[in-house]
Amino acid sequence: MVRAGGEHQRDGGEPVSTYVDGGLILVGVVAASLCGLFLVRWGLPHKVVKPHHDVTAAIFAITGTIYAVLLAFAVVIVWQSFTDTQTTVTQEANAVADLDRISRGFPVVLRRQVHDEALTYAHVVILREWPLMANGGSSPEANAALIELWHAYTDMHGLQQSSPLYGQSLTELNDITDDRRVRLLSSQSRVPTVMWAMLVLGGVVVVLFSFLFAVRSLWLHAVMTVMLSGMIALSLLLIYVLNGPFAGVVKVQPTAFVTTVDNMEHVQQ
Amino acid sequence: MSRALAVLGVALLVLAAVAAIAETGSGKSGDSTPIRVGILHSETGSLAVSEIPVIDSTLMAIDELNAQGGINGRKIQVFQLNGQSDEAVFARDARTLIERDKVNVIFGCWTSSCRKTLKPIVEQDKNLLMYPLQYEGLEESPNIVYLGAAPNQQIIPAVKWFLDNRGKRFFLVGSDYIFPHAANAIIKDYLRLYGGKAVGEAYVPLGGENFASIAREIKRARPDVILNTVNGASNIGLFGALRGAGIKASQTPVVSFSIAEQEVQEIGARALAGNYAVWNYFASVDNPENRAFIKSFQARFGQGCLTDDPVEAAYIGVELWAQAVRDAGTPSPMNVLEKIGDENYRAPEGMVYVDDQNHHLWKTTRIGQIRSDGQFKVVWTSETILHPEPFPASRTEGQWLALLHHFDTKWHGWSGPAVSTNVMGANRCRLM
Repeated sequence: MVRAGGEHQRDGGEPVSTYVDGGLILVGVVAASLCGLFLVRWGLPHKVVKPHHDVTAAIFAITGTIYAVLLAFAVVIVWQSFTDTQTTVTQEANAVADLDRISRGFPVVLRRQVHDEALTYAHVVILREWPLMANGGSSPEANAALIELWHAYTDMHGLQQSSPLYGQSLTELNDITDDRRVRLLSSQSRVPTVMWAMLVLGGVVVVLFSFLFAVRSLWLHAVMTVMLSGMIALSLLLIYVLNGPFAGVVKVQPTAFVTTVDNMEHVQQ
Repeated sequence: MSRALAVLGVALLVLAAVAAIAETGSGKSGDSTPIRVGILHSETGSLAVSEIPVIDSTLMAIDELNAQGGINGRKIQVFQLNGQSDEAVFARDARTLIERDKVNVIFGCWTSSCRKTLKPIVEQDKNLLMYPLQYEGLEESPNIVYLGAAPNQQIIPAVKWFLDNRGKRFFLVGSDYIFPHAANAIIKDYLRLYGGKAVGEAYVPLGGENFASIAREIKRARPDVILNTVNGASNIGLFGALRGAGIKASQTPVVSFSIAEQEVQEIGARALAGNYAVWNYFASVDNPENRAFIKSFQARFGQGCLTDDPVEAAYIGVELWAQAVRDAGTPSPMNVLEKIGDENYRAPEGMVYVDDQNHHLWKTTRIGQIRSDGQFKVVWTSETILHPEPFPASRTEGQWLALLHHFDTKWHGWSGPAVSTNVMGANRCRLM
């Protein structure tokens, strides 16, 4: 059975609410930092902090460096995970398309069987498995469709198994299976809670330290605080939206599979 | 003052609108009238023995839903008619249920010829048929939900397993109507594909019991396996004739596609022991859902009453339909059909999923060997649930439809001539 095409949503970018929510969080963090700054400057006037300025600067340099490394590490990890997952998804969709194309070298019944089952697998991945992966889940139907695809080859008559196309087909099937496994594992990857705690607490500490600098001008100190807290908030937001390649607001879309299905559906078996 | 009153009035209107939207969103429309459903099976005639337990199972599921308060606060009202094992009666009664009784769904039919007779009726009237049987495939309808196995969930795995485990020579015997003919066309395709051979093929009229000449033919052909698509009470004649011809299950097993626990009980377990059947569900499947299902069924109909595949399929059909009604917020057939493709259910046979494209179920396939106590020993279970493929890949959809057209033209309907028959059913289970 071949499913109807054209029903899958293409990647339409992030929803508007993402930017609104992100903007609100940014404004909130900056506002809280400014409140903290005013509070600290009221409690600890310039003449009190000035004698300790050098010590504060030295400790801030160490704290800031440690936090910067931590933040950069987290950003790189989530971005790497996101792009790796995108690559895996593309490879998996390509392997499905390649399998279908290679099957055209087999007798018509097998070709039709592989085509139908590959198409079923791609459809089920898009429609059933993709939403489930947001929570680290998987679709039993996708698993079943993949196993049926394997059976199409393992049940093949001896004559077909001796074809050079058979070995190549098994390689593609292996790739699909491996890529699916990696995709499902990626769907479960998240920044650990302890890491989140360190990122947030570290950010708070760094901003708090910046309050202790002996800056004579309140206005200038406020501008520096806004820039520092805003930068940290933006970095944390980036980690948040990239956290979990299939969850949240910025996620890997099944575009490669949709393209594969569109191409396969136009092939007359 | 007047401006304040106007503002108050507008505020009240807004509140009323919000309340109405909230009510609609909760899925409770406020309509407490019963949801009308139809049951259309045979309570008399050659198919009654098989269909009566299916009626019982359907009613049990509906009663359970009503006991829980119905669906979205509405009770379910049943309109039940007797198809009398006659396609013409089924067609007439289906129209009565839809046009006079205004039912939102029909739970009904046993044979493929019945389903094919009702298909244009439910399509024309934009109604919904929940069909509980395994069948030959080669069909899709937007207005039918196929609860039993498609060919790749019963027939094809059986051919493969017996080729791998029993031998290459198959004899095909069936009743002379659409299911056996179409099923055997599929079987012959896959025998060719997998390197097997059909050494004979024979049919008896629907309801016929004279298998003496066929038994002799089977004896002469010396098959490794007999694939049986004989329906209903005719199986008594088939197994009697095989026994008379000295064909034993240990040497030449019969693999049946229409014999389940109910039929084994009627025909006699000792006469069938050692032979096989292929289904998605056997009563011997061991899981908590099945134990609870059997307990409820036997508490209601008696300890001697058996569950089987169609009985279970009928039960899960009601549950899946009820879920779709809840999700749609209305029992209107077209709204339910929009939702039913998203439904799944932890059934006694295991998880089942409705395929959103062809409205068949993703199911597990099992091969069972008949034991002398009437139960089945499961000898093979598919590795996972299987995707339903109504049109097997051995031919194009167009080729399959041409084959069906050939049968339709040959018979001027969906079955060959039928003969009157003895009716099994002394053992009927009825409400305790």
